[in-house]
Amino acid sequence: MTQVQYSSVNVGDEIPLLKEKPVSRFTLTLYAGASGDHNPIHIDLDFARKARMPDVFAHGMLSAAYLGRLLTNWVPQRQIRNFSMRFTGITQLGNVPTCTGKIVEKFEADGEKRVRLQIRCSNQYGEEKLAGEAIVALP
Amino acid sequence: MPDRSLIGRSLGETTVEVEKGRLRFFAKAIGETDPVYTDEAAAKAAGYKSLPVPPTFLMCLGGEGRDLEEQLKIYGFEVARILHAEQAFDYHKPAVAGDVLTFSTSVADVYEKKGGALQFVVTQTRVTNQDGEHIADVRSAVVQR
Amino acid sequence: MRKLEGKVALVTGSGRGIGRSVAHQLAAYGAKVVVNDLDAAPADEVVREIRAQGGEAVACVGSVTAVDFADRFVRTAIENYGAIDIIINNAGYTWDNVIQKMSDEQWYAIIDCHLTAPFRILRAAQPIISAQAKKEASEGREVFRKVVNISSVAAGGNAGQTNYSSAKAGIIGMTKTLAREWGRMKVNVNAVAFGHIETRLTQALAGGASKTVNIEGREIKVGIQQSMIDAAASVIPLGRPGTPDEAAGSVVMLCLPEANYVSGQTVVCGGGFGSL
Repeated sequence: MTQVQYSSVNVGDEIPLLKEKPVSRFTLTLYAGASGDHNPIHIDLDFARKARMPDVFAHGMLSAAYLGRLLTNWVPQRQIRNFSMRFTGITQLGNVPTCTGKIVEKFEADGEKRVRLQIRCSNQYGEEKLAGEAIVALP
Repeated sequence: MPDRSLIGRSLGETTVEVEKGRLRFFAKAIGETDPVYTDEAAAKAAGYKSLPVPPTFLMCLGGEGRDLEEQLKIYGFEVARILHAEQAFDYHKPAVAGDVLTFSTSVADVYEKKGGALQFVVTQTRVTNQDGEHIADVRSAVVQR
Repeated sequence: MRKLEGKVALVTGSGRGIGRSVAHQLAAYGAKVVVNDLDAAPADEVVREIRAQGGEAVACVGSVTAVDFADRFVRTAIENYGAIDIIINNAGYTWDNVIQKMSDEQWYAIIDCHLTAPFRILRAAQPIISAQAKKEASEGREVFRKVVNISSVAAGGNAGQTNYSSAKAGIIGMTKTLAREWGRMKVNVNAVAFGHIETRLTQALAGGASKTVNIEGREIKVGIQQSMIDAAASVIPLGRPGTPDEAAGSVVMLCLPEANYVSGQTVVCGGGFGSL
């Protein structure tokens, strides 16, 4: 991977997007096991229906992990300083998580060069599911 | 229904060892294919002592040894009615496999929206490693509908 | 005559076949149409055609069986046109087999598409229709809205269609129930049961040929052998299968003001063949 340089990026630049496979029950079961989040609403249809949901739905933190991959695909993880997000919509089965990031600010802090990114995870219909920002240090 | 007197209340401390197997399982579950996260040699070549903990996995480790339902009882929340509202991480030092991490959690805020129809509880977790180094701060908000 | 001027119509499965014709006819009466199809290309095509005729239309692409479809469909109507006046539950396909060879997947695929999807769409639309009706009632106005659910003469029984006939009989029950629940909101809820209509699902196959359509990754056999079509035609009093335009006509007539006092009924559109 060629290192992203502070001098070579500009406010308004988009970082390479990350498009995942459609969310399936299998995806959610794996994530439940791997994350340790065993909330049955994500894996047990009977439970989901009792909670008046039409079906199980994705863990918010699964899409958050995809946003994490969006960042670590772009720069080595140790350059990430801050990463925050709001869960703005429920990711349903069959949704295709699509993560995008845009540089909104270049600045210096704590003696290093940093950029602020606006990040977003949407589905294939452009409906926003997660929105947030990240601060990344660049050489 | 949670009230603002909960703010500042400690939700205790948990300690967890970061296991390579869990990290590989997590990488598989989130579709991570970069060998840095699954292959120790690749991780070392990238400058880590061992497999790094991916950005959001700290939150999962923090849940280890924590009974979600018990925690929700403190707020007066029901598991079937809650949703994750917000999540934030400040990273200070990398955490890697083999580290023993301590998660110290307290209630940071309690508030409501839409005239009480939505109730929020925010927790703040300080993460340190076996050497007492400050690894990260994790902030998490859940909402009950 | 623009009898549906300004009305907002949502039509599932309107990228092709009968649904496409329904969308065109409603647009010709002045309705703004939310066009839906599994695939973007046919939906966009119908939207373009309607706009080219001076009408208004917007696409909402995707499977009606998706868990979030109903909300998205309703939202598309509200965001673009601010109202819901006509809902046509038309999307569908057949996946036949005798009962001993019918899998659970096959059963649920058809029930989900023909019964659960209309249920969810109508449920999602209810709060909007209710709010519109309350407002009109408070203003002393009586505004009729229309739901037409597509059924089939197979609801009366058809070998090889345990799944489809059950769903199509079920939608008649849903129609009668909602006619009662929604009468106070001035919604006419009716069904149209089609007989033999010529579409890509019932196209004639030559000799041993077979054709398939792709429904969400599943290749499903469609088409009917020419000999079967000829045999079927001999029992249709009008002597031939119906066209998509004729089928659509029976749906659209229930959406016109002339049908304001018809509710809870099932119209059979079968050239004189079939009764329910």
